[in-house]
Amino acid sequence: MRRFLHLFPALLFTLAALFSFPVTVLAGEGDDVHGLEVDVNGYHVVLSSHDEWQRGKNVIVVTITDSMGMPVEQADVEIMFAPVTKGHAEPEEDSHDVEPGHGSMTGMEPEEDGHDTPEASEHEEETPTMLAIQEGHEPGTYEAEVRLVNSGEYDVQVFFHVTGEMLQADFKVNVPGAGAQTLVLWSFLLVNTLVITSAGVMRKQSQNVKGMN
Amino acid sequence: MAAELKPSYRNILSGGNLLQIKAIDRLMRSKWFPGIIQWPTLLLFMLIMFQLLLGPDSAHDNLGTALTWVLWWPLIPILFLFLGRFWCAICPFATINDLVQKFVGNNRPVPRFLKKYGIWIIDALFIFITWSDHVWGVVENPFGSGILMLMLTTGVIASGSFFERRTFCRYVCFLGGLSGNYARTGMLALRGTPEICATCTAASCFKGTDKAPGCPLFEFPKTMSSSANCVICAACIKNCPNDSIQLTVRPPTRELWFIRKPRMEEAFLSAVIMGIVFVQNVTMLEVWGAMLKWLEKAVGTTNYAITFSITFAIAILIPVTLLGITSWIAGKFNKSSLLENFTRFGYAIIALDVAGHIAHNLFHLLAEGKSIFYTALALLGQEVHGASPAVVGMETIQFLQYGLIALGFVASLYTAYRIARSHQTTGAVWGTFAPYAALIVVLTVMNIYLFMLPMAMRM
Repeated sequence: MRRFLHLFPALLFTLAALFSFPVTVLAGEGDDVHGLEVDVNGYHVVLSSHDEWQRGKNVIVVTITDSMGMPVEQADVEIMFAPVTKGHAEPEEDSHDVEPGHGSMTGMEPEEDGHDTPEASEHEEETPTMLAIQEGHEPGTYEAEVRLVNSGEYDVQVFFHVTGEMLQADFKVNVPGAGAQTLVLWSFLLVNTLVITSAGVMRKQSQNVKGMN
Repeated sequence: MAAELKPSYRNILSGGNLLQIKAIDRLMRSKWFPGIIQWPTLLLFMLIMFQLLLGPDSAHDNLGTALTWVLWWPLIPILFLFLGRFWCAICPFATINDLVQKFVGNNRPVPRFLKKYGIWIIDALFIFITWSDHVWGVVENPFGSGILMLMLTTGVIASGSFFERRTFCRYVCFLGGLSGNYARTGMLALRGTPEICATCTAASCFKGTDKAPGCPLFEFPKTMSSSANCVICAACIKNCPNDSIQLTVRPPTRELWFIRKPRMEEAFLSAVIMGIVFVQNVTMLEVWGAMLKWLEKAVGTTNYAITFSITFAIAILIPVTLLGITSWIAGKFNKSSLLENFTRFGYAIIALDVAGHIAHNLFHLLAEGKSIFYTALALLGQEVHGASPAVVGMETIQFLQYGLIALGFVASLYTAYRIARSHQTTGAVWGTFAPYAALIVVLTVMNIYLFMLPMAMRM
């Protein structure tokens, strides 16, 4: 028993450290290499985020290949994010040949020069923005930084102009938000409470043992 | 007998005891010190935590991010330079440790493995945390910064619950390791008066009395020769029955000239810090994007964790390898082994580390300093839009950065000379010093080159 009491602090200390690490890692871990995929008029469009989708800054990558699997280069590609709200009409899958409207957009801001500007935050909630995205360094890839203000589900529309026509690919993206963060916070609270309670119990036990001696 | 002896009275600027000044003496002996600074710091920390974990998601709107990474992080190395490791006395994590210890602490002895490998653990943690900041974006993500703080909080709670004094601060805290190295350059030193301590058998400074607890970082002023683990909490000043403790002002870096027991892990950390300063600078440069693309093509993956890890490893290996090669060359002159030279002369680059660290963070403090006020105003419902966060112009910042690097260069050079002089016979001094002088020139040029290039902001 005494030996157990001797080892217990070290065990709990290690447990506390180990427990806090994986949760943190999961909360921010990146590289979701498997993007969302859609076929539009024979074109294969993949939407992915450089890291896991998150509130705040996201580096998005759109990859377009033709029916032969060849990368589509030098296309004009634009993207829109719209948070899914109650009563929001579901976009049609694989819709084609539409003129993109610059409708009301919320929850999305393009990142400028790698960091935000005070002006950007001013329009954070309401600015209707269609974001043009630039070609990436891999053929057929297009990259941009966007800042997603809210968590939850987003309707994402990718518009791309090829051979004189404009095509649209629709995606749904889930941005984990407060739920995951709350879980992380509760985990910390739980671990710390456990540590403090155990320490209190052990202290009382050792005081009792001393009192008996 | 001991009580009859008093520390000698000398001019403060020539190493006299600061406790000769009544106001300082009263402050240090006051039961309110350091609590009077410690408790407001804890309150501020709670506000920061609230902002980081529950405040705005965007770093540039978050007061917690501004206070942590634009104010506190740049000020920390400056504090070490002027006040030694005093920050650790008022650090909110230390306060939490003390609080937990007071109510539920078991005060068990420090585990042996921590005593043996503590600094290596600190080295590893420091490298890991810097790496994870880049890969997972801790600084630019307020919640990520909050998680880092929570991890440290969990660490101090666990340590305070089970182990004695401030075990975490002394043996685990990554910032403690950094501060230990930087505090050696500090201008404030606390020591016992040898003649008085020699006759003392009470050891109240270490054990504690009813006036104050014993040294929280397990130091014994009687034999203490370094400020690396002295947080100037003044507990020993209160406890000493013989008024033996002296608080003196010394020239910056002086301690580095006479390291009695140089340790490999501390020398290694000083080289690692230089590499980390490089990597912090490189990744904030506007050319970083182009470098990353080149690296992605070279290694055939766009996975940032991989490409950054390679960059990080290279940046850290550069100063470590250069110090190793220099130590090998110096060994040809002084007949010491590579390891002996590495361990002794690693301390010489600490001054340049501190200068590089301050210079790097000066950019954030001065180019983004006003964001602290803007985010504080936003918290009170006053939005500021379109205003520049810069406190001074870029030319002024660069001028200050070059000035700091120049000071660091001179201090490192002189330290290398003093270390060479204290260990070698006259003939070997210059032969030993020359390779290290060349190394310091190379590291200085690398630093200056990096500061010449435009940098991106944190907020």
